[in-house]
Amino acid sequence: MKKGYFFMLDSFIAMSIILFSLILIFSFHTSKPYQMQGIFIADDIMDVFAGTRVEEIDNDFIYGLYTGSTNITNPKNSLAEQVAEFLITDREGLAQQFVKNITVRMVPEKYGFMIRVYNETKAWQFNISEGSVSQDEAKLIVSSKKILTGNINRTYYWGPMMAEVRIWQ
Amino acid sequence: MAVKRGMFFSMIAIVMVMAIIALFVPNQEYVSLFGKVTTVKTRVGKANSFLVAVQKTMIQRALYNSGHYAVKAMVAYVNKTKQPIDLADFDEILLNGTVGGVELADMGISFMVGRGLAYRLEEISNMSARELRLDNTFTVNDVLIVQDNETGYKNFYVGVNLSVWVDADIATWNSTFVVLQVLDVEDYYDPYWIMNRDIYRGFYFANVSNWSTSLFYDFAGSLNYSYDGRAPSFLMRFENSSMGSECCGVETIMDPVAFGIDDEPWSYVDYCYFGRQCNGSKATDKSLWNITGISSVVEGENYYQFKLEVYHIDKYNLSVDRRVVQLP
Repeated sequence: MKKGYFFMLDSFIAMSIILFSLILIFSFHTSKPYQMQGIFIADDIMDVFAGTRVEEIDNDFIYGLYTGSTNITNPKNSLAEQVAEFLITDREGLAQQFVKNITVRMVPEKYGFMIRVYNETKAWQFNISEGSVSQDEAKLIVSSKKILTGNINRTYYWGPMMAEVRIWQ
Repeated sequence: MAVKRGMFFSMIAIVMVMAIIALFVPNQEYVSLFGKVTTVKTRVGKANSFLVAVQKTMIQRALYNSGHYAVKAMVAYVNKTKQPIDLADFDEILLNGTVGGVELADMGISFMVGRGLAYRLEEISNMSARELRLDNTFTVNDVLIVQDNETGYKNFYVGVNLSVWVDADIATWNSTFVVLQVLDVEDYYDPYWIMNRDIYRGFYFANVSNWSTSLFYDFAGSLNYSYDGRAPSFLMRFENSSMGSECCGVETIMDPVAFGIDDEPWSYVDYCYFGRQCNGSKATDKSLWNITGISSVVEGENYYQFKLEVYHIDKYNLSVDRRVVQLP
């Protein structure tokens, strides 16, 4: 009888050790999805911003800017280039509306989201979403940057300027 | 004794389990390395994206703008000096806005101020180094300006052979590529006319296939240009060349009264008159002819004593009126 208790206790201890070791092994992990998601979002937004042409956007307001009017003279500009073009030709209001239309529901509400366009002398900022915390209190801030240049009406060259997409949480 | 053996075996089991744990738990170096992989991937992606943007869009736009104003500067230079300019000087004008080391701005030609290609490349380089933390160098290996069968007579190429070196700390890129931009001849004045008559004439090309006297009259009166393989091209006109360009030669007609041209025994096609050539199709007959419906016999009236030689009479499908000159 006492031997039986002994063997049972022995096996119980052995199982505990094995279980504990397995828990210990699998509790170590190296991925940090918390940071990664922010980086991916920032990069993806920048890819859309800098890689998508104006004529590829399905939006009535933007479509009207190059069909019903001459506010946009080159619909083959990327979205970022078009925003920069509005800014350097003193059409900040139009740039604001343009950015608002292209960034609708782009980022989950828990993230703060901002776009900056700047050069050595001037900077413009578009605050798209406040997120769940302010930028100053954020635990994570990631940004993606791209250099922009362009030609207006073939003879007016502008740039280089920087476009920055900033995400925080 | 049995108890001591049991304890001994238990200790062995515990040591084995600890060894297994030690083998399969990721160590600190692995954890930090895995964390760096994402950073490396992002950094490489950024540098690659920058290089692609340089190759596909940035240099093209800078070259188009700098090239356009460099050609305007060449026209202005010809106007200033009334001398031909060697096309070999184009690279200096394009990159730095200078000719023979002299700033064009010092000559009162401001087209290239802040527009030199070297300046634009430097701006891009500085901004990428500062904002993207990418050390980089642009080296212009060659510059070209050319007209050929591909461009035709209405356009010309401006191009650069460029080497770009990018250092992202973890990797470097070295790329050499050629960028070409097509510019439009109609955006510029004719340097040939500036040099020879001090007159600014823009290039407006006629689109006529079946010529008649009335079409020719409109063509000449509108100061248009037409293609002719015996005439100099737009680029050759910078060098005051009157030789022919099979692919890209262009010519225009001269009303002697409108342009104050003296009555001389040369066909009134610009490269024929200025180049003192063209007369006649045969060595023994260098006739020039008045043209029915065009040439006037009234002094002071447009096209007074206007004359052409046989080749152009045939080209424009004209009728002749009176032979003017016959030289042995």
